[in-house]
Amino acid sequence: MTLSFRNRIDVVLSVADQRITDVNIQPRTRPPLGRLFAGKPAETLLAALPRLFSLCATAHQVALLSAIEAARGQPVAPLTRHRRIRAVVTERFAELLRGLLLGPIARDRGALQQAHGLLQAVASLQGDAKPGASGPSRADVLSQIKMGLGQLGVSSASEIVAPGTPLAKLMTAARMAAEDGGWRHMPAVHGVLSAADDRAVVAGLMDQGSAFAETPELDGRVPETGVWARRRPAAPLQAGPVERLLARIAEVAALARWIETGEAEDDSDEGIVTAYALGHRCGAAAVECTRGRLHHVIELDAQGAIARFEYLAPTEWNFHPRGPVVSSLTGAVLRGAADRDAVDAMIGAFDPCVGYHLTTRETAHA
Amino acid sequence: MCLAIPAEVIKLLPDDMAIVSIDGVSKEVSVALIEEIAIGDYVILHVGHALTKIDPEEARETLDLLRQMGAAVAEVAP
Repeated sequence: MTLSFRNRIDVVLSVADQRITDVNIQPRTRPPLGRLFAGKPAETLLAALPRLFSLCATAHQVALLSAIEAARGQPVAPLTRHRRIRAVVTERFAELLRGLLLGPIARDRGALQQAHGLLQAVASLQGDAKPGASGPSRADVLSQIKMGLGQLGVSSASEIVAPGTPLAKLMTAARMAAEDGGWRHMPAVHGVLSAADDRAVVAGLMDQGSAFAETPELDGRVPETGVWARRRPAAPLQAGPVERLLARIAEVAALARWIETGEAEDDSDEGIVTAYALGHRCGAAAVECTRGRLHHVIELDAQGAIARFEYLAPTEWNFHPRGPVVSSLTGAVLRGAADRDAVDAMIGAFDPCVGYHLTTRETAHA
Repeated sequence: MCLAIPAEVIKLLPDDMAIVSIDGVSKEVSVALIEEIAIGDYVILHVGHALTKIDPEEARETLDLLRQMGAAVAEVAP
């Protein structure tokens, strides 16, 4: 392959006496965007990001645009800020939903047909968030999405998943895998990354550059980011694949409500999009996207071209060699036939869209 | 975050499946989520599914950019 870089994460489990004793993570290659775009106008990077990261294109564009404006000292109008938040939230909704639909549910052709219709409606909603969009009315699209979510099993009642639906089947399978596997003894307790950490993250990127972005930590801490982190502090410290799957479904339901009714509400303190002016033509931004908190830092030269660009994706926290995925898997007892599914569900629960390859290595008995 | 590498459809299979080429490497994927797919189309993949068609010119530009990134990575590799 002439595209000579790794685009997947390799997860290697070492297992002895049915217990996971070690988890080795080989990361993907981080694209050296700062080097490639150094000396070029910031707009060239702004144009390239959605092509490179099409699943989270809006999050990257909003992060970079916000960082550029902060570096230039440009104020952002409240309406513009609100439009960006709306676009980020809509993308988060679309990607969480896609992650749910393209897992085991997609093996059922009937459910896949339903998923197709629903994803098309969501794509239409994303298009509607862009200026100059045309097509079916927003009300029609929202109605179609609500119906599709209902068929899928996302309930508007107090019970998040409606019985007898594709999502209910998915939940049942996850519970059976958890019962059969060893997740009840899962020891992982780790902190979460929040907007309160933004300044420290930006300082890490400024001081250490790509070395920090490859294996980030804050005073020795490698916090979790993403759906489960967004539910804290209300959610319990520990969570297995079942709780995490349920959290994803709950967030899909909550975002659907936000998109339908909550857009007029004040979103100023949500931390969904936050920009930081750092002085000396430097700016940073953080965006709470599907997978978690995404950070961009940019420095412009006197002509406005890119002097430096650093970015830190949420995946680097969760899939850190000593991070939440590793600590959640280490020590788990694998007892049943559904072990592989349980491990897959656990890894997938941290990130709805990451591509990874799982290998299990039996080691000598203790 | 996952890079979106364009894949070219090189063969259509029954049951909404297709063979795609990702810069020369063949892979079988589902194209059930895409309407009116044809040989020569470029698509974006995710977990074994083609998610969306993209313009061939845009696909070539993206592949060029990805090759530049690959070369830049190779320059600094030990």
